[in-house]
Amino acid sequence: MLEFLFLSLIIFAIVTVQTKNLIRAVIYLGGLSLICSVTYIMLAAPDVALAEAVIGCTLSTILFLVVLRKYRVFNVCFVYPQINIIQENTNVQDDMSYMDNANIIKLVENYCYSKELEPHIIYSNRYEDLITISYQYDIIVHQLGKQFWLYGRKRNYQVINLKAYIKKNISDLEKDGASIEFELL
Amino acid sequence: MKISKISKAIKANDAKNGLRRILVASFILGITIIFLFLYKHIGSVDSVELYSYYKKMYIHDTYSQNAVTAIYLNYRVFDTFFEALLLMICVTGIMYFFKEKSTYNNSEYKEKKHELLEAALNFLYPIIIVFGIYLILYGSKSPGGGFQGGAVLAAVFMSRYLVNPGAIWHVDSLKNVEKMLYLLIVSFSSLLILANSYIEFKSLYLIIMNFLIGFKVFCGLSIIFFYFAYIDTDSLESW
Repeated sequence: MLEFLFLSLIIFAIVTVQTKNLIRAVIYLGGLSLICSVTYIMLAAPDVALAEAVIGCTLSTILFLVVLRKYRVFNVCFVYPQINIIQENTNVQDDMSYMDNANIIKLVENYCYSKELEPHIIYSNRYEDLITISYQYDIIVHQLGKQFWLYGRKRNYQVINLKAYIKKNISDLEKDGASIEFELL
Repeated sequence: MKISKISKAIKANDAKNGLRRILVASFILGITIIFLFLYKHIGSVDSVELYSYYKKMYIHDTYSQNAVTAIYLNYRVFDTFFEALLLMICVTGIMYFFKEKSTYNNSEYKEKKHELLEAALNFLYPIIIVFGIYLILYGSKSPGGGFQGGAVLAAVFMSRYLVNPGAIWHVDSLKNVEKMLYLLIVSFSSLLILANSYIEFKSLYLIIMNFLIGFKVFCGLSIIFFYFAYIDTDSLESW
């Protein structure tokens, strides 16, 4: 019996680490705490089992779920290598208007507001540094002239919704001669 | 072409991260195998002298039927002080970091109410509260104690938040209550000297200390939870 409990503890620990959905990870962690608490009872430590059940299953699970509900940020990274050409212009805000990217950013922002997400947009001109931390961003927008490439994650359902949203509202952008390619990784 | 280069590089990086996950999983597995091996091969702790002393003498020494309570309220009472202090420092730190938030502006959730959850929990609240108080008061006679009972009491208010997130709670005054309770814990522990000399004080000492610790833990955990629950994301960004 005890060996079975130990085995399920290992399985829950690995599943918690491996799962890609955060809410599922929280639920698995609650299950891990519950099994842990049963294990403590089997090892004749009811006091510790009570503390583990209350802290692990109830308090930390509720805390994690509340924090996940609070943290609704959509991270966007905007990459455009041409910024090196206009280095004398130090005001980044001016560069933005020059780059003629306002429409696609507005599109992403409108999507975020419709889903009550908060868009965090980071501008960068060095995509080489970005690749190692690409998991931090929900979507990466890469611009080359009038051509836009969007990279998103397949497991992120917001990105899939965004793809449909952009497909629906693409006509304004195509009027300016811009073309968009969406790639799911 | 640049496009394929970027997506290829991101994919390669993802594969590297996948390798890291596998390494972490195998590390957990390795630790567990070592633990199970040791668990099988190390004998029982009955032979340790201190263990047998505690097991033989704790009822006579402390009048507590629960050996754990005997240890944390009598033999190792200084450990309890610092555990309680640790929780208080934790609360102080959280209050310090989130002090920019002045009002509990939570109007966005005001209309969301889960009626089924509310009906079920309204029925359960009295039972959970009685269970928490039972754990505190009978900590010296049955499994339980101050910490567990306080955590159960705090869980009541947390589930209250889940039912009605729009409700406004004023938890700042709980901080002062917690400080007072900590002072009381430290000062009441001087009863230990009396309790070790006079039999009449032994049960009283255990109940008073469990009660104080329980309500201190309840205050501390409630403060931590409500500060996290009502944190303004705007104030977090301004750091």
